[in-house]
Amino acid sequence: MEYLLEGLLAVTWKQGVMYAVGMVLIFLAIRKQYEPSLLLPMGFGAILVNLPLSGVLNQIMPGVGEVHGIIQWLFEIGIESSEALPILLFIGIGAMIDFGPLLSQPIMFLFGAASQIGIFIALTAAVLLGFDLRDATAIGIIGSADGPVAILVSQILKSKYVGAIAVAAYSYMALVPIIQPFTIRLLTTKKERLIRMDIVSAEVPKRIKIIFPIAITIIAGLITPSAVSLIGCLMFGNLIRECGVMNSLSETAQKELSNLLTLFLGITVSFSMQAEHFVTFEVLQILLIGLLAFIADTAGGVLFAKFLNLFLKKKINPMIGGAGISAFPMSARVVQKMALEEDPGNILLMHAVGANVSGQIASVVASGIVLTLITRYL
Amino acid sequence: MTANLLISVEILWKGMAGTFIVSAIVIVMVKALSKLIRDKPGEV
Repeated sequence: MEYLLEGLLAVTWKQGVMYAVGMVLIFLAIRKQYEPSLLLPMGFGAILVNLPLSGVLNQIMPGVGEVHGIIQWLFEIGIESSEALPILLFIGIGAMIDFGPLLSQPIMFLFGAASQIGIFIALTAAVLLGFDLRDATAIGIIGSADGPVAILVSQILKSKYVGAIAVAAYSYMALVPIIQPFTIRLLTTKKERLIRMDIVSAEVPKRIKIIFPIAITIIAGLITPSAVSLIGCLMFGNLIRECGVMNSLSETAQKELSNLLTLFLGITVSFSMQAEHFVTFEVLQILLIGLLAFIADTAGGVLFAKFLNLFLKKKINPMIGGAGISAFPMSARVVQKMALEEDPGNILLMHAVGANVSGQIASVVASGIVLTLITRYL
Repeated sequence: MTANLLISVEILWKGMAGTFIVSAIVIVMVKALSKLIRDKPGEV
């Protein structure tokens, strides 16, 4: 009957650590409701792929030969060979976003740009810690605060840290309500946080909303061709939403498509959470760099708003700058909540949402630019 | 590592500059569109 104990006896201490990691992710997803749609599948997948001789991975069975595992197959098809899962998810994300608040106050695009500084700070930090350029760049993209982008770029660059990068990106996105208030309070005075801004309307002519995704695709595609699959799918989803003649498909993209892809993406990424690659000192470093990236993103936006205020007559509440990261809509909500805590009558939501959706576009553009630049040195 | 550090610094300033340039282009485009198109909200 010793065959019943084969699996149990084959468990390594590193796999034991991964069971704990998986359970922590599941706990955060269920108990704390931190990005549950991603952290729960990733946590469960982390346990699945670390069971000895796990059937979700390809295995050699005596007398049978190679047997394919479902998670490995999903990873090889959906991420490794085509990056299809993260790219297609952008259609759903695009269909969910209303760019109205951004189009009615286009200056908010600048905060999206400023909040990408975390990518570059994280990249530099990773280089300083001894990661090679390929992995350092992939790690840097955690600073895009955009899970699918981080997964996509790390996969394009063939980084061996895809799993750690995905965990860091999604975990810190979930921790935005903790990271951002801390950073914003550190960099702003109470007087600055009390700044009120004119209430703006998000009403934008329908034709502008239709032209916008097409124009952005062309502009971004011409300047950063390597990002065109991401920006193209994001804007395609948005065009479906705004065109007004594909309501049923728009709803499908926002709900069924997004849900299915998110589900598959989470559990598929867990393929790269196998203990021998994940329980390492490098992964711990990546998690710390990810935290630095999110703090730098927030700081970049806030400090840029303060810089603009040196020249503006109508001052911008610097907290709006912090909402320029791609974590949508959480970052906008955090800024609005902070504004209300300081002054119960201060409504900054439309401005914050504008900055927040600009972060969605800027993160893709910045990642595309980084890919274009880094490939010259690899 | 020094060579990689120099590359990362170069990517930092070029990347940020590029991202701001694209943002500036988009701002100009949106402002131009807003001047050209002034139909009623919600109207195609």
